[in-house]
Amino acid sequence: MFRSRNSGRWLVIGMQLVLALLLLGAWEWSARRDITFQFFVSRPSKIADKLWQWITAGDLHIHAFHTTLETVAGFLLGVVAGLILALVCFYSPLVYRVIQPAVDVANAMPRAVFGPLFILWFGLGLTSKAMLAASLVLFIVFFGTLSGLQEVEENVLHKVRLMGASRLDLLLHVQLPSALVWVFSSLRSSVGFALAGAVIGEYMGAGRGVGFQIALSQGNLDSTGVFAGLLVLSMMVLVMNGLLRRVERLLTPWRVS
Amino acid sequence: MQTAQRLVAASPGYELPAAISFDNVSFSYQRGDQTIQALERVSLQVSPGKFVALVGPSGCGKSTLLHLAAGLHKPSSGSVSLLGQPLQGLANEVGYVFQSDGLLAWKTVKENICLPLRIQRRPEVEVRELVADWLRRTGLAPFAQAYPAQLSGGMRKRVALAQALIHHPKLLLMDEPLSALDVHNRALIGSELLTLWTKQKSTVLFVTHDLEEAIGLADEIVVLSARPAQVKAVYPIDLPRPRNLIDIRLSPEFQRLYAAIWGELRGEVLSSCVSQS
Ligand SMILES: Nc1ncnc2c1ncn2[C@@H]1O[C@H](COP(=O)(O)OP(=O)(O)OP(=O)(O)O)[C@@H](O)[C@H]1O
Ligand SMILES: [Mg+2]
Repeated sequence: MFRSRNSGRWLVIGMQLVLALLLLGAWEWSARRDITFQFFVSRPSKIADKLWQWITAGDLHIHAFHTTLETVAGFLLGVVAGLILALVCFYSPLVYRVIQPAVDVANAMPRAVFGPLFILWFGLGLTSKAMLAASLVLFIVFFGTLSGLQEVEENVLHKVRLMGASRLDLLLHVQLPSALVWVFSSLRSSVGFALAGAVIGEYMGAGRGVGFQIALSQGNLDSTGVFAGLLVLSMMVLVMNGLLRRVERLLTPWRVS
Repeated sequence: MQTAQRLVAASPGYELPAAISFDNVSFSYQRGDQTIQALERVSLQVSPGKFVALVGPSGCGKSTLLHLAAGLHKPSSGSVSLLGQPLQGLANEVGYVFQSDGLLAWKTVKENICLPLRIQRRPEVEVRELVADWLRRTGLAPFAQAYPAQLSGGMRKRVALAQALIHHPKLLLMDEPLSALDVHNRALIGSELLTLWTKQKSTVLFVTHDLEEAIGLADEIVVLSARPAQVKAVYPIDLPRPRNLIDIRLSPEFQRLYAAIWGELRGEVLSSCVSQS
């Protein structure tokens, strides 16, 4: 049984590799044949070259580091704020009813519009990017956590209450752990949003970061640079998601896969 | 029938107050602008240490009655008392086994079983001792670190039973705790339950669909009418203990009781089927 699952996994990885090579090959081939096409979309070998240049020039890791820092700061800020807001609304339905329209409106607002404002308010440094990232993460975590807290099976609540549980007992033994599954599913989509928030912020005004590099390349009509920047971002998302999955497995060990 | 048989359970001459007493309890659910009357003037006394089984047609209000006994609902009229004290808010010292086992999916078997002790802030030494004892008694020791999702249905039931019993509640409320099990497991866990109850001597209110199970386990069987539930009749079951749940079914006394109670129940089951279609 384990063997078949493993060989299935290798089959998938193999097919993914073949598909990636085919696409890259087609891209390289058509870009080499048509120079206009190459101007717009660059080509894989040039992108790899560019990436190598960045790495050897020694500033890629600085840009990546700053983008990561902004993403992580924004992510944590958004998660903490979302959790707190969800707890407040959970315990006080009155508060929730009062602020609900504001929450809905703020959530529907395209956050990119706030980018310039945040830069105006918080400057060109880390804070404005982290805030932008946090403003995206907050709502996802808020809605995920709130529904997680509200969806606890009623009989479980009854049972634990009958054991003599206080509100804090209920929160610690029942509501939070049961909400954790929802929280993590919201966190998984939040990572992408946090990164997007940080990059959009950098794109609009910054002196460093991967988003800044992309904006710079774009200013020079350098599609190779744009693609190289996107590639760096993809790597970062993969790493962050991997880490998150580790943490999730650690904190919700009861979910047997 | 309405008045004469309702109070049979309260045999006269008790000095002790009833472990649980329903006095003219009515209850209705509100669904939108619709009112669903679940219980109508139910009066029932259960004396301490008794094992009482509730039988009645599906949807008649058995679960509702247990909810009221635990204080999870308040009666629309009438009153519920535990040991002579009118019940206010939630009952304490109650073990509740819900029909869906209601285990905490995020806690291991061991953590589930010791939860009542943790909530009561019992000293660590005592908790460890009791949990080890209950893991052994229920045969769950090898699965102490497993999560509920990794257990079979029968094992989950045993965890739920241990969880309800470990803190020695004076009153045990069980809502069809064995109904999801196959015949074999049902007899097995039923016997375990009887053994545990014999040791602890708590009062048990036990809801079941299964008349044979009820006769095998209980001291007393309360037959409820179709919705709104009223107490239709109470049968004392004086089969000798300890009982063997399989062999007992063959005894003539068992068969006589079965015939008598089923005669009472059949009409209610039929009328509930007719009124529902
Ligand atoms: N939360 C609720 N809201 C509205 N009506 C309810 C609710 N719970 C139960 N009822 C109604 O009350 C009646 C009694 O329900 P109850 O669950 O007590 O029946 P029961 O005897 O336990 O049935 P079963 O044997 O099928 O479990 C049912 O007819 C049901 O429709
Ligand atoms: Mg029921």
